[in-house]
Amino acid sequence: MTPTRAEFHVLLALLEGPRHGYGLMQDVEDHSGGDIKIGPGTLYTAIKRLRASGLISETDADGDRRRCYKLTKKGTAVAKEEAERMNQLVRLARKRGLLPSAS
Amino acid sequence: MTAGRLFTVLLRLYPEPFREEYGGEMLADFTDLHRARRLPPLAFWRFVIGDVVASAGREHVLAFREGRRRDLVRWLAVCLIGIAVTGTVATLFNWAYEYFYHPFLEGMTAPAYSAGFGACLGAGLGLTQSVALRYRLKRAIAWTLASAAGSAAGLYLIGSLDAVGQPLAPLASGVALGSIVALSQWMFVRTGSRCDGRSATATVIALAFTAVTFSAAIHSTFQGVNPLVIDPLVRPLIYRSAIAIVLVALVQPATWLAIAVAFVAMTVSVWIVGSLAPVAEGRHAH
Repeated sequence: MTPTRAEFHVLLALLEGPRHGYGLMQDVEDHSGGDIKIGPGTLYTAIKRLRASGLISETDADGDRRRCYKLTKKGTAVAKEEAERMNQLVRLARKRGLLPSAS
Repeated sequence: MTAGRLFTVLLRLYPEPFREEYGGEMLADFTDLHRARRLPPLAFWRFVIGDVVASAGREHVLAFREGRRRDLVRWLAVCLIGIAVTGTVATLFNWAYEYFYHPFLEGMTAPAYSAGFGACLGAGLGLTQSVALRYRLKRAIAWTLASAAGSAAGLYLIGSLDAVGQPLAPLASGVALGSIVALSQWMFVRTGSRCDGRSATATVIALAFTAVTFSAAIHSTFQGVNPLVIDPLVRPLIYRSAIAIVLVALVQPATWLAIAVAFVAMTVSVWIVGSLAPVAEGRHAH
């Protein structure tokens, strides 16, 4: 499956380890410098789809008994594929002069 | 109203299964989000409401698509059964009337004749609903009989009133007939589950919708459909009463259009019933 933007952000956040919902929202906002905010609705529709596709799974609850989520092997592979796809697009954009050269 | 309560109200926008699975977690996350609020109140609520409305809409679309795929074949089968049963039973009724005709019957009034057709219409609707709701045999029989009895009584009553020429007659007749059938279903086949109320409500809406649909679409197709029905008993009603048009179309449809409209009306009826009374509830409503 091809993850949506919100789903890809969730996968990226989970690369650092299991998180509960609020932790994921914070991570996404922090990593994007506050540019991207994911609300509870968007987050849990993403979580539902990622779980159904087997990219993330539920793990033991944390200290305050919240449900936590972790990346599965398949989820890591899909995140890697998506990152590679984006990387190719960025290389192409550089080649066409849309973005400044990396060097 | 506190922020948490307001968010709980917003959660009702999601489909029930989604809310049951994630509603608790969403509320907990919202509470943290509200506590650590990094936005001004107006911007914060605009963000939260926009997020909930957009994602709830997506979830409903997904739920509809999944349900539609799963149930499409079943819905079609149910509609065909409903049409076939209603048409067959009503035609038999009509044949019996013609075959056993006796001068004594000339004194029979249109309302009395309508009651027979009402029973046919109710039996078809009740059977279709039973299949749509996956009732088991015993309950399906009771539901169908209650629908038939309610519909017969309803049409007798409506046929007795001289209000068919009024502008809102089709809608009013549909609502009245639906209410009487629903009352009959509710009184005789009540199980105490939420399904009863929803099914009865669905019956009112479905019959009202069916009456209006038929009234609008079959107007030009009923002529010559069934002379016995049109002449002399129901003639005064036939051009003005949607209910009469429904009956004629169900008894012996003359054109493919009539059959198509009957099919659409039954489909809508079944869809409304299915939407209001979840299949899972109906299956366990014993």
